Amino acid sequence: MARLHRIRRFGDFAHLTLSAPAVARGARPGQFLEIRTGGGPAPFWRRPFSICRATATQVEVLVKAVGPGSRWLAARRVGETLDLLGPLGRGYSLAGREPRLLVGGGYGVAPLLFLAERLRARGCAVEALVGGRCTEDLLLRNELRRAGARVACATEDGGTGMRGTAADLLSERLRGRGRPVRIAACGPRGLLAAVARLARRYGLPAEVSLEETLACGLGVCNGCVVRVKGEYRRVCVDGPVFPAEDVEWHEEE
Amino acid sequence: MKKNKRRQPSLAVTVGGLRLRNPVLLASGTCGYGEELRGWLDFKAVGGIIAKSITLRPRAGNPMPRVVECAAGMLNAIGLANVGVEAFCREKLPALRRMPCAVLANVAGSTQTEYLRVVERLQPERGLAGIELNVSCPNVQAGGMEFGRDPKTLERLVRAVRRETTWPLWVKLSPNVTDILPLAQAAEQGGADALTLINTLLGMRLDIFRRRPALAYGTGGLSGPAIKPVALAMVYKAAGAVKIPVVGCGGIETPEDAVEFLLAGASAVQIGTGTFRQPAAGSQVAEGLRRYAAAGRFGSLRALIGAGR
Repeated sequence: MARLHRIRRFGDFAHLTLSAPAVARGARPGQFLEIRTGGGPAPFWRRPFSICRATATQVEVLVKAVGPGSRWLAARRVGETLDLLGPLGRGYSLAGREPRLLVGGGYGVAPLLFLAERLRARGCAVEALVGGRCTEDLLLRNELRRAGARVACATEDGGTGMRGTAADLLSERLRGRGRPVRIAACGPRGLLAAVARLARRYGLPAEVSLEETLACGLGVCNGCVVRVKGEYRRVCVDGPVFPAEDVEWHEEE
Repeated sequence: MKKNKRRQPSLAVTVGGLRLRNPVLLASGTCGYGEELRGWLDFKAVGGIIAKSITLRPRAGNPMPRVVECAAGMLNAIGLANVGVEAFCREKLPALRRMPCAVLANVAGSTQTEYLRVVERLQPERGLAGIELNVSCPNVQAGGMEFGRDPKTLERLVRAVRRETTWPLWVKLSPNVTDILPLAQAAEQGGADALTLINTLLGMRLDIFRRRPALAYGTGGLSGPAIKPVALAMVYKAAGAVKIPVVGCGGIETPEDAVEFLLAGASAVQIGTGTFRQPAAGSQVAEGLRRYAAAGRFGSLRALIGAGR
């Protein structure tokens, strides 16, 4: 259980700050929460949300109001109590001092803010490559800058930054780059497949956060599997973050 | 205040050859091999767990998507993904043995020989309180539900397994039949110690954008509160037609749901999909039953069983 401490709405999005000390203490970048929505029998499943920031006592999530569950969540008021489980899943690796390139597509930028903060705290140089269809899709840019990350943007309509995707930005950054760098990505599957391709081409380590529909979120139902290194792995507990090179991308490649 | 008024009513039950501290178990396929739920649920608070179905050989399971949400429930077509009996004994049993509650293995197969070989492999192992036969999985091509649809085939299978083991033997039946009674009776005739009712109901959803079935397998098994009335009717009917105990399963999320099943004639209940929404559902239902029994005039929960009939 967690108390809604603050909610900030913009466009289709809501940024929720929840008071949940036990959850906040254990949270690592890339992990997620399973939140019960609807206040009644529907929606039937909890809904997963990446943790986009955690302090000593609070966790934050970014909610895109697209369906009944997320719309309900985006309409909560400060002081209300939410039923949540977490932190769940395996997050991004914080190991290594190499500079990081964080690649976020749209809503996928959420866990990268948390990752940027923790990496900066460890002294890593961080650049966030943020992409979206249009300027309104570019999320958390100011928060990333305040966290100490350099931020570059790409929009498919050319409204802000480079015309193209976050993968196009990544491609540009890697071209002719000599220094080693680690890549972490979150976003639509097509973007992640493109990041995986680039990482392989340049021989760089990359981690991607995969998304699947979750029934339990705890690893018991086997309903959220992806092909990783020739076998089915559960996104909820074996992931959601996997090494990009281990994921079988199939049709995206 | 009289002393006996404060006495905790006993929730202990003996079901199908098994002594349980309370009549609440976690259903097969919804509690993994136990380890997945560690930290989310107090296993000392439930009567037992039924481990995920095991087959002779490992099974990768069906392609994705495997699950889809419905009104008051969900569909799954996991396809009996499991590590196989050998890895189960080697990798999963050590942790299961340390569980502070009864642990039943759930056995599935595509032929009678496969069922028998799995049961045979389990026999020398310590730490299992019994076996539940899965003759009701709707999500595999061969076997599974086929054994649970024909009384003669079912009786032959149960009798053969009965010869293989002296452990408590439960049989989990499918609701996807014209009449549950001949199957309940066939399992009893074959030597089952208890019946678990029900497995999932065959169902499907379609994706209106892709114009394809929502599940890669096409159809799936419906679970959750949506199936509770169906499960109750089947428990009610079966409990009146067999002498062995019936274990109720289907959409149970609250203590009140469990009481309904007990009143209908179930001797114990299993929490399935409820665990997905609330990982501690099993222990919460058990705790609620304790309060329910304490508040009523029942000396023990046994008095509830079949009281609604």
